[in-house]
Amino acid sequence: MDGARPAVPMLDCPRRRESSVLQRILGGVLVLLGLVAAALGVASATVWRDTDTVVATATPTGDGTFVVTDPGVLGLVGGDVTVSASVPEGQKVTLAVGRDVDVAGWVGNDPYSRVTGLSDWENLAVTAGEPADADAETNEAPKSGPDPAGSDMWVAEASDENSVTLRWSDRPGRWTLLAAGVGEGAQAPTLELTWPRSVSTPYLWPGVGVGAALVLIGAALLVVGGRRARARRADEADMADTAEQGSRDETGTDLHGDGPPAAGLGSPFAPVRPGSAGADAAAPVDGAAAPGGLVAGEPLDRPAHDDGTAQDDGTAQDDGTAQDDGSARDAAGTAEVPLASRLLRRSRRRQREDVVADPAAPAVEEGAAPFGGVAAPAPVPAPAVPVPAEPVAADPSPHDPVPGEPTTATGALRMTRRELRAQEEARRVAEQGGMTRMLRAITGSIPAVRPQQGVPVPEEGVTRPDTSTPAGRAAAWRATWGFGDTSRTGQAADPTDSSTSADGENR
Amino acid sequence: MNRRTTRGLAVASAVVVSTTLLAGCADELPQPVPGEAFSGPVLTEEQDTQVFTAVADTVKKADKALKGKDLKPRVTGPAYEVRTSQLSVAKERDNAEFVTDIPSESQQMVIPTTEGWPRTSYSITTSTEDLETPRLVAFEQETARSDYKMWAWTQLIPGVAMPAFADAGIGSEAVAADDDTLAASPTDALAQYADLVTLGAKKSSFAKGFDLPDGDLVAAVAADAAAWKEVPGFEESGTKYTQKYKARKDEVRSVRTADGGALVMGVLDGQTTVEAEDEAKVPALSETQKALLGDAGESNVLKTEYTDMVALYVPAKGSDEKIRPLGYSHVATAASN
Repeated sequence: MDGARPAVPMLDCPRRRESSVLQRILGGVLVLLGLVAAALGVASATVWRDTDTVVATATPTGDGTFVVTDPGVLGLVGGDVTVSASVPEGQKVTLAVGRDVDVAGWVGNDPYSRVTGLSDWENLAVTAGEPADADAETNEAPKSGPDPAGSDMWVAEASDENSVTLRWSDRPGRWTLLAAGVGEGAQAPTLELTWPRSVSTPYLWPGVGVGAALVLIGAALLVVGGRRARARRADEADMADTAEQGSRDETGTDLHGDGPPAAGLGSPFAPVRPGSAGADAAAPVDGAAAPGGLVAGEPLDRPAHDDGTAQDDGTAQDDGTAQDDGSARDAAGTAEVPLASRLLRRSRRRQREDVVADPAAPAVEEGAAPFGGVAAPAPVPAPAVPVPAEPVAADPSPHDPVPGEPTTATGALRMTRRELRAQEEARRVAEQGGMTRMLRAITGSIPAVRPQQGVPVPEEGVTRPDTSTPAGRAAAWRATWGFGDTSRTGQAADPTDSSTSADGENR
Repeated sequence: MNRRTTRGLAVASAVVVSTTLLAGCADELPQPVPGEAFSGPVLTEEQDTQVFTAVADTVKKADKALKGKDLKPRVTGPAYEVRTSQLSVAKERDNAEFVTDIPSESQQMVIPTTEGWPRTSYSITTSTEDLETPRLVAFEQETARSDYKMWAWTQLIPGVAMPAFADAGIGSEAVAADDDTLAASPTDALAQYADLVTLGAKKSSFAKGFDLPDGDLVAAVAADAAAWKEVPGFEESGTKYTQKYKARKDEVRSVRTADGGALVMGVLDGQTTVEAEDEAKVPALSETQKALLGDAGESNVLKTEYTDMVALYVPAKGSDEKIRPLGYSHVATAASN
């Protein structure tokens, strides 16, 4: 019965909620990661991009006025190198490039600083040079720095005051740079080697690509998660209601502490639900009577609203979603939900119809219930049905279609809920824009239903037979099930009517 | 999307990001790679041309000023000696006609491969403006910190066959003064040549080892002697003429030729003495001698000193060829009574 209705979401919901939350979190994280990856990619090509040059400095150590590079140091990073050497203000400095033996010979046994390579990307490794002649002792540092400038041996040289720059393109061979501070009190110059290098940005496009992909995936997850969450919210709202009914109907452990009798009455129906079709078949009467009766519905009634799908009109209504905003909400969500709810709703209605159609039940009662439902647009779980002994049921009280029922209290509560829900719905409708509103506009659901709920009311007066007499009851029965009175039948078959009741039920 | 996919994605993105970050920092420091050791010529042709030009410029400047000291930066050894003498003679005479013209263009360079010092390179100049034969010039870099300087020059003997040298881009090996792979060591070759010059081709025992061209130093020295003997009254007055040439042992420069022989350049110190009777007066025979004598008056003795730079081709040991004079410079550098 209805109990199954909540059962589905109960099973489904936690997981779905969890997964949709997860999805959204994951989506967010992925979007963030994507942005970060793209940013890293861009940064790798901009702020973190290696400089176009490598600049390394050599600070001379020890005595001597010379700095000599090892062969290969000039071409360490790139073929083209720009060498600058600087000495304190007022001194002269000379740079020269020559064959290693020539430079070594030129330096001779004077002390010098030797550049052996890079110690890191910004500094050159410098050690004290060994004398060219292994047996010789290193000379005393000359008082005046000799000037290598002008030697026939150099292939490139430059000299100037304070600082000088020399460009050198590496070529095969052991070329060596000699830098010398020149003159009285000279000291070895500080060297700065600058190599241009081609800097690639290998992480730019991969970074941006991966980032974009992550953002897209994340965004997709967000959208899906968001939609699911919306659908779930709608479901939950729907479900909360149904669950409420269901729990009351089925379990009897009324959430609101409603009277057990109703529960007792209701519970028997629960098992019926799955086989509701069978129930329908088994109770032809009820099938005939119920506006939604599939089997009995047959030829006579409902040509008008039968959607031709051979489904009962309940389906038609639900499919239409016109009258049931719950279904409208379903429509916005995933497919399963509406299907489940549709089935549930249908079966619930059928069961109720069974009850209502129970021959034992006073026609009045049966008639009253729907109308009561109409008057008070409340779902009528119709637990009242089982109390046929209460003809008083004719009481049109909108609040309690089945007076005297133990569920009265529940009814009152229900009413409050209904009101709240109606309010909520109104608010939601007011809030809702876009698709839902458009859907509604297309299907004409909301406004179409409620006003019409009142429509049958006049009928009530007209058609309500006096159930106090057997004849009256029979008339009522006939009227209810569409026998006899054609006009009555037609009315009963009226989609509006049925939809009204269905609407009421579903509420 | 299920949880597994989710986790996989998260891991994948974490890997991507961290890899990106780490990769940026992992750039290895390059190590210096010394190229192949040099084995070729110590100078490029370009450098050698610059050397030659620098020398020529210096010489030209000194020639103009007639100042021997101006040669110092780029001229050394016997070349400096001779040139300074020439310049002073020119100054004395106020005429530079006897100053050897050294063309400033080179037609062939012989560049050594010597790692140490001194290093000597050689160059054959173009012909002079007066269509004199080309000069063979030797440049020497005495120490690593010194420049290449003109060490010697010789005027090539007309019609002489020059040996082939290795290409300037390959470089030529220097040959030691006592090298024993040659028909005679450079020092010996020079000594033999000096003997030959002193005694003449007919008297010298080394004559058979030499292939003497017509116009070499031996002939020039002989011509000098002959010139004196032709002076009127030389024979009658009983005047004696003696000449002695000696190779300087430490002034030898040699370089390998393509056929395994060597080009040897050296210096011969020559001295001629004309001694007449006590009462007689020996006049200076040449303008150079006159200039060298200067204010010193005539006497019965005239001593003239020559500093002769010579170039020989010495074939490899076992070769069919003989030692062959290539060029010389025969210049009187001093004269006294």
